[in-house]
Parts: sequence; C-alpha cells; structure tokens
Amino acid sequence: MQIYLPIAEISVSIWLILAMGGAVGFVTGMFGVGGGFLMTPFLIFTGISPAVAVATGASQIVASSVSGVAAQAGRKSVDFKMGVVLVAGGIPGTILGVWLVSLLKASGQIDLVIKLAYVGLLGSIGLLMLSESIRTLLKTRKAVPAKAKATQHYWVHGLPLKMRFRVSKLYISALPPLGLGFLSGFLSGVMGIGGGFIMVPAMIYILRMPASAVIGTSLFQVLCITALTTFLHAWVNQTVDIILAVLLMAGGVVGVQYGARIGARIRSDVLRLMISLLIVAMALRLAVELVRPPADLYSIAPVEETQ
Amino acid sequence: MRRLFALLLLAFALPAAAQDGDAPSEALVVGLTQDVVHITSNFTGAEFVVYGTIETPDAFVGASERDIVIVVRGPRGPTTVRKRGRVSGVWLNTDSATFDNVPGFYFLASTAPLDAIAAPAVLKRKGIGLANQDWQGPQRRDAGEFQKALIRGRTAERLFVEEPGGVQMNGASLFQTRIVMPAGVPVGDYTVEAYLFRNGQEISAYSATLVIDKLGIERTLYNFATRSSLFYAMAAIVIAVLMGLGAAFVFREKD
Repeated sequence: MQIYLPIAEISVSIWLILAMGGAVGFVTGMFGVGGGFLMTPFLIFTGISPAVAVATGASQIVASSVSGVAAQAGRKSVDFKMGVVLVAGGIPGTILGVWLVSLLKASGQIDLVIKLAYVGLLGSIGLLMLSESIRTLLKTRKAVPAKAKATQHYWVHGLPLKMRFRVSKLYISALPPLGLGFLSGFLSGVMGIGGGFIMVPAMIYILRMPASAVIGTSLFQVLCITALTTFLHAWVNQTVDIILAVLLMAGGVVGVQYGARIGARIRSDVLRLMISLLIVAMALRLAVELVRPPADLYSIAPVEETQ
Repeated sequence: MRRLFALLLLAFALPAAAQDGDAPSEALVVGLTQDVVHITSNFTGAEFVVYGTIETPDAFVGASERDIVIVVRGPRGPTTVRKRGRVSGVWLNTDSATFDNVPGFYFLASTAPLDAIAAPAVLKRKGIGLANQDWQGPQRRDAGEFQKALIRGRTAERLFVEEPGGVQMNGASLFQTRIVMPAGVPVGDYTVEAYLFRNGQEISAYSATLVIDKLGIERTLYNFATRSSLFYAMAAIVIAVLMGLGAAFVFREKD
C-alpha cells in the first residue's frame, strides 16, 4: 500500500516505513540507544532527501525519548538540574548545526559532511566499544574488579563555576556539561541523531555521574535537543514530514517492545559487542561510499539545494 | 474545389508543393482526458491520454506524410548538476553547473523518430526533443556534459521521457498518446503542445494547459508546513510528545 508524503513529495510503501520504524525501534529497545544513526541513512536509502531525512528522523527521536523519560521519571532517575545545564549548552550547538546545514546545502557539500561525520563518529565510538567489549568478554572468567576511577582528581575538578547536582551526587564545574551539551546539540543539528551513544559514555567517564542517573538524564537531554532540532528544521527549512514521522513512530513503538524483550534475554557484554559491530558496520559502509568511484560522476541537486 | 486541387497535387506528387505551404488548410484540435491532476494520499503517479484530430479538407492524404509531435512540459526552474572529483582518495562534489530554465517534467511522443520528422535546425529552433533544449546553462566549454548528465538523471527518474512512435494514428486524422507521470512529478502549471509536421515543416501547432496540484489533507499539510511553518513546527513537537506519552502508557501496561 503506497502513501504520498506531502513534504518529502514522494510516494512510499506504508509497510516499508512501518518496518523501518520497527527495525530501528527494535535496536533501540534491545540496546538502549536511540537508533537515530540508523534512521537517517535508512530514510535516505528509500529516496527521501537528506534534509527531510535528518529533520523527520529527529522528530521520531523526540517521541521515543519522551516515552523513555516518562518511564525513567517515575523511577526518580532523571537529574533535571544536570539536564538543564546540558540543554543550555546544547541550544547554541543545535542552532550552529542547523545553520551549518543550510550553509553547506548551498555549497553542495552537505552530503560529504554528513557522511564524513558519520564515518568519523561511528567509526571511532564503534571501535572503542568493540575493543572494550571484546576485552570484557575475554576477562569475564578472571572477574577483574573495575578500576576505582571515581577517586581520581583530574582536570575537570579544577574548573570554575562549580554547581551542586543532588541527584547525581556531584559538585563539579558547569563548564564540562555545557561543553558536552554543545557538542551533542551540534551533532543533532547536523546529523539528525539524538547523540545518546556519545552522551552516555561521556557522562559516565568525563562527568562521573552515577550509572543510575545517566540513562534518564541523557534521555531528557536528547528529548530537549531533538525537539529543538525538529522545531528549527520545521520552521526554517520546512523539511519535517509529519505523515512520515507518525508512521515511523508507530512502527517504532512496536519494535521497541520486542527489542526490549529479546534484549533482556541476552547477556549485556554480548549485547555491547553486537551494538559495536552494528555501529562499525554502518561506518564501514559509509566509508566505502566515500572512497569507491561513483557509478555516475554527475548528480542532480535536490530542488532545495539549488543555488 | 480545394479538395480537387489537393487531389491533383497528390496525383502529380509534387514534392515542393507542401513546402511552399498549403499550411492554413490543415489545423490541429487537441484534447486531454483530464486537465487537472490531483495529488492525494494514495497518489502513485498519473496516467492520461492526449487525443486529437487533424482538421483537413483532404482526408485522402496518406497518414504517412503527416507527423505529430506531442510535448508535455512541467513548471520550469533553476536546476544544479554537480560533478564529483577525487580529492585525496575521497569522492566529493568539486564542480557544478546551474541551468536556469529546466522543466521539472518533459514528455515527448511522436509518430516517428524525430530525425525522420524534421531537420535538426528546425527542431533546434522550436526546442523539440531533449537533445534540442536551451536551458540557459553556464557559458563554459563542458556545459554540454552537464546537460547530458541532467537528461540522464531525470530520464532514470522517468521525469524526462521521449517516445518516438508513442503517438498512434487511428486512420488518417485521429491520433492519441498515453502519458505516464511518476509519483515524483512536481506540482504546478504544465503545458501540452502538439505540432503537425508535413515534409519537415511545421504547419500547425496547438497548446493547452494542465494543472497538477495537491488536494485534500496533502494540500492542507503542505500549505500548513510552508505558509505557517512556525505553527507547523509547534504542532510537530506536540504530536511527537503525544505519541511518546502514548507509547510510554502502552509500555507500562505491558511491563
């Protein structure tokens, strides 16, 4: 069954879009990451223009992170004060990212920048996760205790503008969370991702937040930033296709449930290995696209990218 | 009397006669099965028929002497073609050319291959055929390469179509052609042109208009998104939040 998307201006199969939403939701439920890094390339693959894919993908992440925050807020695991500081840094980052996208569209390099950003980010994060999870799998039997990093004193503690975060039980400078928020906002604006898979390790290893508060707080921050990304793209670039977004959300809701059920049955170190392999595979695929000689040297720019 | 004259011309088979022009005696009348195409939620493309008749005082002139060319053109606009080059191992867009006046849709059907209908100079002057378009490209030596790439890309999307032999003659004066548009056709005002050629000369032309427009919820949403984008942006957020809360509710029940 085909449906015409009024903003993307193409006709797509309803079942294909529902299945895509479901597949990304499945990954989200299974691994606990947002899956935005899968959604944007998937949408582009079906023939939707990158600008619409980035903006509509962001709106779908809003829905999935709202449901996540609603579930976490009940368990009192969201550090709203930390979230607000992260978002305060994220707002200028997002605006800069969206502005950069409109600038790059005119120069014809948006495709390259999005792909390079994906390769660099997914490649480095994926390889880090992969090596870490392989090491963990190998060491499982030896049961080595984790290093007591929390007692270390390092550069983060020397910065000014100290603030107290009760839920996270932290007394640290506001500058690192502001900077982290800025970075993730920028990536969200450019790549249409929530950035949860960067924020979660950064909050654990750089901010030293307790694991119990990390997931809920990062979901809250991702929610605010992707809402802003959606808003700016819809307002300035008019690239949010609400029909497409609703279909993706509907598929995602179902996918998340099945993903979570299956994820619960698999050991967490095996899960981490699987997600890192998925991320590395995605980065490799995009890297191959960048270096392989194209079938046709010429391409027609989408209407909205014409000077 | 005129019919008799024409019959005499035919009988003596004077090749110069047609070129000298008995032009006013033949004219085209063209109709479309629909002059408005609505894009609704189940739109997967459009298909319609352009039909017509050659009004002639002389129905005995063989159909083989006449040629019909039908051209459908979509709204024109600037289009950029990019060219990739290799920079330190990575393929990226290094060059581009913008054509100012490219139709978003171009369909051509004729009774015979174009080169059998008229001389290249005639086709070029009238802008008939994808090879004879002047889209006001940049002044550069390789502009032709970019134009060829543009035609190649749009043809692959079925937005540019050339069908020599796509016009069927029913008898000596009735003709028709079927036009298929893919789902990706741009909205806007289209022109439908029909040309009658005889012995390489255009002797009659007819032009009609066609409108492609979004209808119903598609039109409402499109207008909402483009004309009041601020409110559309707010609505998009509200919908996403409500969907998320709904999902959270479903989750809680199943836990």
